[in-house]
Amino acid sequence: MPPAIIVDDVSKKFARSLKRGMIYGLTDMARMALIPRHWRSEGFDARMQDETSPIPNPAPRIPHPASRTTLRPTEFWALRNVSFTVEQGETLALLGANGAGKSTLFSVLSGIYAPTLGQVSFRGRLQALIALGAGFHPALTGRENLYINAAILGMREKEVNAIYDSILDFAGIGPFIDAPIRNYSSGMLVRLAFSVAIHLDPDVLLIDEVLAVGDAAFQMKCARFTRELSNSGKTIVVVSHNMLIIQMMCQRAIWLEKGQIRAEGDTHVITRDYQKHMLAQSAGGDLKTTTSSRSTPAAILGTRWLNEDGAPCEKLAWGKRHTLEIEVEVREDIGCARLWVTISAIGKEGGVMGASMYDDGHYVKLSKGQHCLSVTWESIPLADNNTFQVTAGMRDWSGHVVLCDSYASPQFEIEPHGSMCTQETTSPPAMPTQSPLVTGPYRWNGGSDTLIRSIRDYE
Amino acid sequence: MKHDRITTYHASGLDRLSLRAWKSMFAELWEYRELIQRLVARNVAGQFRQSFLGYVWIILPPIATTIVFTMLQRARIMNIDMGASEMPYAIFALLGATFWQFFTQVVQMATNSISGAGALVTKIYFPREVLVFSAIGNAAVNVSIRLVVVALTFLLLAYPPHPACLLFLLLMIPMMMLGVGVGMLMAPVNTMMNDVGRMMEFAFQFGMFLAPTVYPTPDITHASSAWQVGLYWLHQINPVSHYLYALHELVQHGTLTFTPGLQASIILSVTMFFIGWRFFHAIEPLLAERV
Repeated sequence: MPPAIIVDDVSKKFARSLKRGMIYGLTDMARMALIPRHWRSEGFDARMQDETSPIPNPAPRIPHPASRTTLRPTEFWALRNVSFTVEQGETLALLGANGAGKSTLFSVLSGIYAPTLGQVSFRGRLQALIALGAGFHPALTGRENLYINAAILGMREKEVNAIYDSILDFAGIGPFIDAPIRNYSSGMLVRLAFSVAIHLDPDVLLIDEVLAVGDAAFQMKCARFTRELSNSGKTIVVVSHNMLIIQMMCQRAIWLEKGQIRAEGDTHVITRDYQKHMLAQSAGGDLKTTTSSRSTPAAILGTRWLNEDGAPCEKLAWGKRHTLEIEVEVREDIGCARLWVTISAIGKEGGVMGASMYDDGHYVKLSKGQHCLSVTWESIPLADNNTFQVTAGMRDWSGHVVLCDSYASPQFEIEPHGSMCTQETTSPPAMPTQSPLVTGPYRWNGGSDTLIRSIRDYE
Repeated sequence: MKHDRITTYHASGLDRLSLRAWKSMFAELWEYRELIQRLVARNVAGQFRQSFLGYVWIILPPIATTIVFTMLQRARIMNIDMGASEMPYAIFALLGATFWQFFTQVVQMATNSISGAGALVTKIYFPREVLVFSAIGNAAVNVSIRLVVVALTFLLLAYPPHPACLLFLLLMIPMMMLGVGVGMLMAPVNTMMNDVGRMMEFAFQFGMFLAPTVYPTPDITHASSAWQVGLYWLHQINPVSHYLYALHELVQHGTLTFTPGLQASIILSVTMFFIGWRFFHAIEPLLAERV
């Protein structure tokens, strides 16, 4: 199949200084007005039609006459010679520190900035979730804003009418739809905006950290929806600082650094290298204080499952309450540690169930010594047709600094439950292979000495 | 947008000084007509939702101007010679204020349309002309509301205008085109230097007194000073003056004389519109970077 996105040797420069930017802007404007060029085209592009020769028609390397390719004082390359393709139905992750060029790349793909050099092409309708809530007017009601937002995103009124109920349903803001949106909570605003955005039926979706907003239930809904979109053949590019989300959602990752591609490949490899790199960078800062800088400040020693009665168990029972105890050794005091746990099915990609302090907004303060943290699920919705494994890890507040190596537990199984189920629920819903991460209600517990706190309290 | 349509954004492409550019400009305008409508409706509806007087704010400026100048005239603080015109001064001032302020609004709203929509422009691509045209739509809605007041004033002062004065609605088109053209030249510059917006505001505030808005153009056949001659020529070079002359003539006599001044104004207006639009369209990709 021909690719869905081709980014072909794209460079983009900006000016750091406002005053100079003003002058450059005016001169560029004058040059551009004198030599107008065509920068946006729709329709045929040989490279995206013909799958046998992916790039028979390389982008013209002639820069726009208005945009000089040499840097003037205070200018810098926000993107430099970036090239990659995204296949249809692929979910690609973009990694990089702040200012690496991820958002600029998204803006170029959305057509907000014209590239200084090179070109981008994509097939179908592209929807960037950086554009959430574009055109919202605070004094107007949710309903009015919904129509305006949809129109800005390129939808006709008729199309909106057809999916109106579905949008409302997904947003789940009830009677607030007729209230002016200035009375909305920020979460409700995002729900409405996100709901409109995903109902546009985009072929290419650019997601930029938006999944980090909204409450846990809505996030879950979004994650599931994104997974469904991906399964139905949509092409998705994700920017996130949450490695867990990236590992769950994406097969391939691109690591951008200072506007250039530093590495590209399998998500697990790239995220690992990226995290190592980030850790090495931050090692100059707060983590350097003690002992050997190579070793992590903590380690997960082991995990074990407890059943409803609090007794250790080898097999889990479907639908029953279980607690996972995590034994942690802390080598130096940690002001803010955040845990995540993923349960994955052996032989399947991605997690099927999990708990993460990044999602529920908690952290723990850990003093030197051994601790036992736990997480309790009210119900375990895993089917007995698989063997599972727990992976756990701990990072700092930002998710960038790894506090301990991730831990993988021995494998475990789910008890065949036929005997304990009544007739009406003959079998538990089997997890689909590419199922979304189930995050049923769960609770962290730090034991007597450790308090689970809300990240909002962390300074 | 169709699902198999391929969109490309490139640094360089085919030259489009050709007619193709115009074709795509009109096509885009047509494609996005619904969005323009929505944005106009949004702004009109959103504008006064949180105000008590609401739409009264739209009609207030010309009425206030008219009342102030009529007072000054009646109190003989100002002694405006209405010349041969039989038009009541209040009507004269109201017409002048209404249409001058219409022109002002067109230019100013167009100029500020891009810089005022920074959040939108940096988030999503759509032809930026949409913002300018929806600003114009807004100005047009405002002037229609004001025209109702003008009509009521005609009734109130028992001064029936010649029915042919409705022809002026046609002349408002080139007048608007002039405003949009200027606005489209200014809007991109305004995104980089907001001096432009301020300058415009300043220029229009004083420009009102240098155009036949609240007093008629001095008659230079018996000019008593060089100042009068200077003022006369200031009026003459202002294209808006010629639209106002035509308006006064239509209201009083129901005739429309295409004086050389009016012809030149119309030609200038239409040319300005196309130059402004073309300029705007050519530099469109620069807009988001500088907002």
